Amino acid sequence: MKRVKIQCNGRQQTLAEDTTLAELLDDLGLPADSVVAEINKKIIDRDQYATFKLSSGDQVELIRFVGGG
Amino acid sequence: MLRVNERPYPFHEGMRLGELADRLKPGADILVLNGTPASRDSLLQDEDVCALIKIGEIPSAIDMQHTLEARHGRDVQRLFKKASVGIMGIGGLGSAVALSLAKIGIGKLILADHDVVVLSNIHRQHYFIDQIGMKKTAALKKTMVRVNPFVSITALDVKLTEQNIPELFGGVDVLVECFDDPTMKAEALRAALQHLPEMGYVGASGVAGYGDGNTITCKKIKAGVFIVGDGTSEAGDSSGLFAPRVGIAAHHQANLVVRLLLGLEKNK
Repeated sequence: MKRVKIQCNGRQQTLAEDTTLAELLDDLGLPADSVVAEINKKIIDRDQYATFKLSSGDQVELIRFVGGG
Repeated sequence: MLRVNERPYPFHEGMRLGELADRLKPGADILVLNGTPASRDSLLQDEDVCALIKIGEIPSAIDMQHTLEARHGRDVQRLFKKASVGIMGIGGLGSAVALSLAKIGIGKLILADHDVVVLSNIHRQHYFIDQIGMKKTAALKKTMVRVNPFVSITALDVKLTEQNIPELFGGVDVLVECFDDPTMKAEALRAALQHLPEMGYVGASGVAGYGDGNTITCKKIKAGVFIVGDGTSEAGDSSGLFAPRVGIAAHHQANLVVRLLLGLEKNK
């Protein structure tokens, strides 16, 4: 199976081909609704998480929020 | 030279406090000399600091601005006066941020929240028992006016969304995210990064509990964009929100607003 290598919050990570952003968040145990995702310096709309496929070389920055204020 | 109600006033040998009050604030109820209540016949010395108080009197806008300038420095205060700040959510974080910014005389504050004050808010949010049942926007505005009647306050009783945040807060210098709900926190940051690229932004994440206060930090996401908190302490059934730690985070947020306004945290 082909793999893709990405940088996620500064760490290299290897994923199965065609992994979506939503799947990556699920793997990381992060609730998608509370995460802001920037991929290659572009903010990804929430409604694209399920369809956005990660490619080799992608620079992914995830900012996860926890509740309370 | 004396200092009377924050302004210089020429000193003459033999002056008494009552005389000064008759001249500068006839009918004053309380006379304060160097920080302590004093009688009318107190003899003044050069360099004394006097406050002449009429109970219940609202100071003029000029007196208020002058007093703030004396405390904060004239250039800083003039910048504050021209500044505008948006506060999204006025619960534990937002009510403290709003009051802090009203106290220092930020010229224009836009507050938005859709909630009503309930009993379970009082333990950490800046509301009073007699405000239970009021809209938070109306209640906080009333308190802020008591602190500084010269701040322009726009209180929006609306439910904020990723879509309406850019239009409601489009013109502000700094936007402060004080939501409780992590989904709204993410939506707000997304809205700001996508649609308000020139604006300073201060969010919060991880403020619950009574863990070490020094783990609450200001994390820079990018130029002009910060998240305050420890990043992990989540409010939940087993870990509540406590006034002290939420207050630390709120005042980190307010201090970042000041620093962004003064250009000390490089904007974009």
